[in-house]
Amino acid sequence: MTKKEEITEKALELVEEYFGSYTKTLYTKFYEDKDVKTIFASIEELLTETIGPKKTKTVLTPLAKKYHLTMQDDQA
Amino acid sequence: MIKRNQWFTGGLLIYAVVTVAFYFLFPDFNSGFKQADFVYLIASFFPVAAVMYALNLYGRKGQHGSALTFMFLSFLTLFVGEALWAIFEFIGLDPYPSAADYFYIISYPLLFIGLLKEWRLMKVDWSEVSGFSKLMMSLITLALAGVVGYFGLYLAYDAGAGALENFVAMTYGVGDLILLVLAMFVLKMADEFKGGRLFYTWFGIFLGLIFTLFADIGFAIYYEPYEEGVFSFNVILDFLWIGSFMAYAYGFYRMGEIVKSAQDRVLKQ
Repeated sequence: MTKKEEITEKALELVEEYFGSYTKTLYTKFYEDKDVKTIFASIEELLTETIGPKKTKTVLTPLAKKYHLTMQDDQA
Repeated sequence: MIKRNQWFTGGLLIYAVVTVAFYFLFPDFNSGFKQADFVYLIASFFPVAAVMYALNLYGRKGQHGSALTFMFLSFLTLFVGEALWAIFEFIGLDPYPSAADYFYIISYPLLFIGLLKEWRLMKVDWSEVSGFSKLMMSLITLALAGVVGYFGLYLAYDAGAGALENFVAMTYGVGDLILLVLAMFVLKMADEFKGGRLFYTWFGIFLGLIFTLFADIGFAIYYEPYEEGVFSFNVILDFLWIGSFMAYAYGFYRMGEIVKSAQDRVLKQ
């Protein structure tokens, strides 16, 4: 599985978990032509707004570490 | 521009003002069916509509769809119970115990299953709760369970009443114990999402559970003055139940709005 495939899969898993199956269908199409950074930033923004920054960090940190992605919190 | 959320909250506030006016302008609580029953019945439909809104946005497929379907059925049976109660009062029949009670009672396990399914989906982390907080939550739950058990189960049993009446009365006590446990779980869920929009959803639902619990305990203790039409008991208990309907509606509406805004982000691009 490529980096993009893995991040997309994880992002879609989270979209389904918090926003349901129909929203997942919409995001599956939306992520198709997006690069890894955009997908990660999109899911981070969506989750931060919905489940709060603390829980978002818990949920996304393993993925960010694995692929050396920077989270908004770390940039600040 | 006024946001949908503000329209919704404004609508609830207007409804609340109209309700208070109804109760104080037509205080005819000893005449069976009362004008205020109309506004009460409207409130009991709010959570049905709000869960339906959230369910349509989440989609019926998947785990959320299943959890919300149980909650939808719970509020629908509650609404049918309220409607039957009002009809029985309107035609001059004693509504307690009656078919309305079966609908009320069925709504408790349906809500329990629905919320439990949501709880499992949200993957709430208990490990971050300190031992002291866990102890306090357990003590508060036990204290409230003692009150519910005493008034809702022990005192609910009436040797002079029929088996059916006792069964109905005591089942409410069991239902209230279910509500109490759910309220503690939902409070933890709200805390888990502090800083995010889901906090308002779960805090609204928590308030709904607590208002229902207090109203049910009050009804178990003050059933007679309530049924005799004593103004203060009618106002306090009805306002608690109406408050619970509004809080549930607020919580589930916010849940739907969260999903809607996530979908809009993609659809508007």
